Amino acid sequence: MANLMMTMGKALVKHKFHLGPLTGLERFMVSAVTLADRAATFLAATNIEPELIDPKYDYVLLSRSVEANLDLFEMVRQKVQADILAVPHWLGLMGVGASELGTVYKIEPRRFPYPVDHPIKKQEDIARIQIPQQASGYLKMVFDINKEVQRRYPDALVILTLDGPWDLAMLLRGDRDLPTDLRIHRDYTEAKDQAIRDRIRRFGNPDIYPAIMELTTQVSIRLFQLAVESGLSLMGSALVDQYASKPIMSREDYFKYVHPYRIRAWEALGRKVNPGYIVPSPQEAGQNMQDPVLGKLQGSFTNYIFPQTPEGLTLPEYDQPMLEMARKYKQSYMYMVHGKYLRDASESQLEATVQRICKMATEARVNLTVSIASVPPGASVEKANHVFKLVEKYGRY
Amino acid sequence: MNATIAKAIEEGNLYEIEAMLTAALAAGERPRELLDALMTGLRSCGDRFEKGEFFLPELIGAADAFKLGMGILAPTLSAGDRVSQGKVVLGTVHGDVHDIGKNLVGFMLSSAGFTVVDIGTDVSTGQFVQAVREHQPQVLGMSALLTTTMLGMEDVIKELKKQGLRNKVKVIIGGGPVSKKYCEDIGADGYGNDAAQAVNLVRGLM
Repeated sequence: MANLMMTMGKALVKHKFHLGPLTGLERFMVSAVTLADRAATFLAATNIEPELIDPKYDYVLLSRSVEANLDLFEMVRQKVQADILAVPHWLGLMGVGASELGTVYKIEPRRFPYPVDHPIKKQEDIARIQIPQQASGYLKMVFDINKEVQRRYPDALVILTLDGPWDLAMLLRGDRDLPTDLRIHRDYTEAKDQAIRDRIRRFGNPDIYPAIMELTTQVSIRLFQLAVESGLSLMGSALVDQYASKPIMSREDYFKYVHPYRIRAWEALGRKVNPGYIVPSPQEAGQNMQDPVLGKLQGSFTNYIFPQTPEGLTLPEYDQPMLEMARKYKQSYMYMVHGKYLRDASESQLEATVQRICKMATEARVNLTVSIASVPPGASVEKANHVFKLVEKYGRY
Repeated sequence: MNATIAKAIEEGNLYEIEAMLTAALAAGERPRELLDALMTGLRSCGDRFEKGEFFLPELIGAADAFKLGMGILAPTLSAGDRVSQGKVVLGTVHGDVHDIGKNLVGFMLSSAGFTVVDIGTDVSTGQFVQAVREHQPQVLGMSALLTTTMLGMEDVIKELKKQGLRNKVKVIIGGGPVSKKYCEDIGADGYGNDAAQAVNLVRGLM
C-alpha cells in the first residue's frame, strides 16, 4: 500500500510537471484525483475467454492450477494493451467463498463454472455453515494468485473483489428461493396486524431471510479479513452485490433489506472496502449520491447494467446525463463496452461508439475509463485492442 | 369481488387468495369470471413489471398467488373456460443454470394467457428437441446468460431441422449475451432484448 501511495504521488508530480508520458497505472491513479492526459482503459483479465488467449487453457485446468492462471495472465499482459489489467484468475468470482461453504459447482472445460446445488435448503442448514477460519480451496487459490501477481508485477494493480452478503446468499440459497425469502420476510415485516402475520407464517418462513443475510454478512467480512491475513491489501477492493438491483429487486427493497447488511460489512472492515451499489440509470446514480455512505465513494459511476439496444450498446441517450452527473459529483465514469457489442459490431461501428463517448467525455472534462465487460467467443483479443487503441486516439483531454 | 381478487393477484397476496376465491364460489360467482379476475391480476402485475414498478419478488408472489388460486378454481372450471393463447416451451441451454430471465419471460407469457411449459435450466439439445416433440408448442424459447453457453442455441436449431421439427415450431432466443445479429446468424425466428418484450414477440409469431 505504501508503494501504491508513493506511485500515486510520483504520478501526480509527473503529470503536473509534464515529466514524460504516464504509464497505465500512473494514468489510472492520476485519474482518481484529477484529469489525466487521456481517458484510461481497463480490463479484468478474467473477462477474456481463456481459449481466445491460448486453446490449451480451459476451466478445468484453471480451476486446479495456480500456475495456469498466472501463465494465462502473463499472456494477457503481453497481448492486451489496456492501461490496467486486473482480476488475474479464471475461476469465476461466484466460486470464491461460496464453494467453500457448500455450493456445488460444475466445471467443464469450455463453460464458465456454474452452481448446480446450494447448501441452504431449510433454516436448520444455516447453522451448519461454518464461517471459515482460514482460506482454503478456491479462496486460497485466488489469494495465492493475487499475491503472486503482486510479487511478479509491481506495476500491477491488484483489486480484490469478493461477493457481498446478497450475492453470497444467492449462491448459498439459490436464485429462486432467496427472492421468495425476501418477499415473505418483507410482507411479514410490513404487515400491519398480527392476524396477517400469523397467516403469512403458514405460507413461508419470514425468519429465514435475515438469518441467511446475517450469516453471509459475517462470511463476507471474514473473507476480506482472510485476504488481509494472506497478505493482500484492501486498497481498491470491492464488496460486490451485482444481483441486488433491477430486475431482481426494487431500489426501496435494496435500501431496506440489503444495504444495511452491506454497510455493516463496510464498517466492520474499517470502511476500506467499496460497497458501491450498481444502478440501472443516471437518475439512480444521482440518488445514490444523496446516501450518506454511497455519496462519499469514488469511482462508482458505470453503465454496467444500464438498458441496452438490441445490438448490446448502452442506450446512447444515457451517456450525456451520466457524464453531467459525473462532472457534478467529481466522479469518473467507467464506460463498459459490452461483450456482445464487441463481438457483433464492425470495426467502424466500434470506432464510432468509442469516438462518440470519448468526444463527449473530453468536452465535458470528465474522467473516463473505457472497459470491456467480456471478450466472448466470436470476438477476439485484437478487437479488444482495437477499442483500446481508439481510446488512445480519441480520448485526449 | 372480482376486482379485489384481481388486486390480490397483482399484489402477490397469496396469503388471502384461497379464502377470497372460496368465499366467491360459495357466493355463487361464476368460475369463468373468477378465472378472468386471476388473469387480469397477473396481467396487471406484468404491466407493472414492464413499467419498472415491480421486480422479481413481486412477480414470484403473483405467480404463487395465481397457482394457489388455480388450485381452488381448477376443479370448478369446464374445458371451455380455459382458452390458451398458445403454447410456449421455455428452457435455459446446457451449461447454464441462470433461471431468472427465463422465469420472468414465463411469467409475462403466462400473464398474457399463454400456456407455458418450463423445462428448466441446463437443458441439453436432446431435451429441447424431446420437449418440442412431446408438448408440440407453437413457440420454443431458449435463454442463456453466458457467452459460452449461448452457442448451444444453434445446436438446438440444427437438431430441430435434422429431426424434421423446425418448420413446426417458431424459435425465440434471449438473455444477456444474445443479440439480434446472433439471432439472425443462427436462424432463430425472434429475439427479445428483455423479458418485457416476450409477449409481443410471441404474439407476432403466432
